[in-house]
Amino acid sequence: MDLLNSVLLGFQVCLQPINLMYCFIGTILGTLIGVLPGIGPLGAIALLLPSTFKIPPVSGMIMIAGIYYGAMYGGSTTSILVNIPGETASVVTCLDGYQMARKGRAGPALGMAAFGSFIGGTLSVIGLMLIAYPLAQLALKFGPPEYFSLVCLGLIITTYLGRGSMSKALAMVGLGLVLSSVGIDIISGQCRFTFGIVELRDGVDIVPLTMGLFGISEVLMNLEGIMKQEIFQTKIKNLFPTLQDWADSIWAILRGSVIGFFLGVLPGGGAVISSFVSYAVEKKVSKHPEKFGTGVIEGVAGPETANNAGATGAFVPLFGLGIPCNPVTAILLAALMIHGLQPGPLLLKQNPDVFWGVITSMYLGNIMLVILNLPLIGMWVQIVKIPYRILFPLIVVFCVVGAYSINNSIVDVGIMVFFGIVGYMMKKFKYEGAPLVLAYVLGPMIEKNLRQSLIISDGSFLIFLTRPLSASALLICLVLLFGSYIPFFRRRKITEVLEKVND
Amino acid sequence: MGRSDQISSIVLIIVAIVVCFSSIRIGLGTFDTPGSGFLPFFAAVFLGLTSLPTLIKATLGKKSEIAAPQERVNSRKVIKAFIGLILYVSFLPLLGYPIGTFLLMLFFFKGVETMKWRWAVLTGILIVLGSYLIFDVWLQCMLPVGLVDIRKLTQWIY
Repeated sequence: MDLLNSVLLGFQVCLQPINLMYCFIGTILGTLIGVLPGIGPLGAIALLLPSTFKIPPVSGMIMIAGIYYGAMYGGSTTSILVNIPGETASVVTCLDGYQMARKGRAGPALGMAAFGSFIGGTLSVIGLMLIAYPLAQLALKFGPPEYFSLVCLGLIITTYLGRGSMSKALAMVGLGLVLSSVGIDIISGQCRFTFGIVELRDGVDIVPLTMGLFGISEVLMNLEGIMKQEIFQTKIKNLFPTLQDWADSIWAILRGSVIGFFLGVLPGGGAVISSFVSYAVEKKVSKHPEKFGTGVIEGVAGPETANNAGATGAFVPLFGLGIPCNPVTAILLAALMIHGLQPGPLLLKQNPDVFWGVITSMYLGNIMLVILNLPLIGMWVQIVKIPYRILFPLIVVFCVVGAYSINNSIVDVGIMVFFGIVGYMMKKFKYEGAPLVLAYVLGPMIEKNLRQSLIISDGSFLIFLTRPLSASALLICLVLLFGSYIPFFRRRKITEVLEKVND
Repeated sequence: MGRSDQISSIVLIIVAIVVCFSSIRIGLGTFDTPGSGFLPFFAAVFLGLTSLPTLIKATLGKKSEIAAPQERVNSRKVIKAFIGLILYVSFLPLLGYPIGTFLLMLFFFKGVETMKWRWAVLTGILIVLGSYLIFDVWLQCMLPVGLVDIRKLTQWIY
């Protein structure tokens, strides 16, 4: 009964006209970001974060969440029509989606991507509602040692599931932790690594950091190459899939929802891995695996469902434990804190309107997306045609304004440009940005809980091993860290999985 | 990736060493009362230790491996964009947002890309004007003013 009352409260919040408007803006912006190659949901959320500072926290969170799952919808359009994924989670959609477009079946591919995303997103919201609530109740009993170990586990799983070298990903975790310690120490009040710059006393702000790492660096990377934007010339008709299409796709959609949701909950999982795994599973269970890659609708329905389900599943640890499991939810965590809200289980206790308002807004957001996306596909196609030479200065302008407007400080613009160059170098040297951002956001949580645990235990590290949950989390960390040398635990990179899928 | 891995891991190890020494200076405290330098110190040790395998692998790796064919990259464009951004940040307090950003756009359209002058000027003006009206006038973001306060010239808008 408690749950039903809470859902009712959520609908009361999200059905308010102002929240409906922000949900609508978020989903539209998200779709736009997903459609445009060269800027992902992470850069877009970082870019729009300052604009949420002046609106009520619940409206801001509803908008940011809308951008995230909206981008998952939009990404499929470019994958299918241009063979360029609008964002990473739609990479795998190119394989069959583009082939369907070449065969004159762009309409059913786009339609099934939209319906699959809707079903995956909606089922995932139900899962989120059912799991986040008891998880949050349970998490209220956690102490500093449990939190410290769980955050460590989250970071290690992120590096384990990453795409590149594990030692490089771990090094980025170290760098993120170092960056998080810049500024005044909250316990002693002492300045750390500020180099006499007053603006650094509050630490390196998340917005210029992420804008630089994911916005400016992406612009620089794209400037290097020639971005081909050849849209396949075809008339988009029959957006509503046929009964045969539905019969072929329905199980792929249901499997994609389950895979997406559970992989989304995992730290470092989220939408990207979900879509790859869903494609691999569909190919494995198919009666005609040899047809995958030639334009089969299951190859579009499964991954597109999974990436939306994964995006929603990523909210479970954020709302349940206050631990983000990917950089996008890390920015959401930062946004909650900027709005003065306590993320995690306390959010449910202190601000149930925000907790349930955001969750229920996802139902409405998914409905808005499916209603919007189908008739507006023609418009999104026109947007894809914007040449990159016009687009990249616009991205730079938005980044500059976004970074400056947080504190009205040119130092923040400088920090953004600095991290833009760092991010570019990282991409060139094959270092991932995700573990760095995640460690940067989780750094203060790690420090606080580590120091509190040591103070409680009079300096004994045994406190982390005498508590069952903490000890289990640390044991898994060790297995993942050193287990790479054992064949059973050897990590599979996404690229390897994709290569296998392609074979 | 051998050489670039060597360079990147050496840079990270140097960063780690600098942070370690700075953390000691800040104060590590004790295990029962950790000081302000406690976490940064161990984070830097972690950074250094995790950068070592990359360095060792890159140094001791097989040198006979044939380098993978490199994709054609236009690094001149990137270097130009780097320089443009650094100059932009340096002169933004002096020039202010409208003039500084217009010059940056012009540099992007003419220096980095090859757009015709009239289109470059027109697109630059449209981008600056549009963003200025949205962010400064409408959302009141208070963008950098610079020496020439454009607000005085456009008071009729407010």
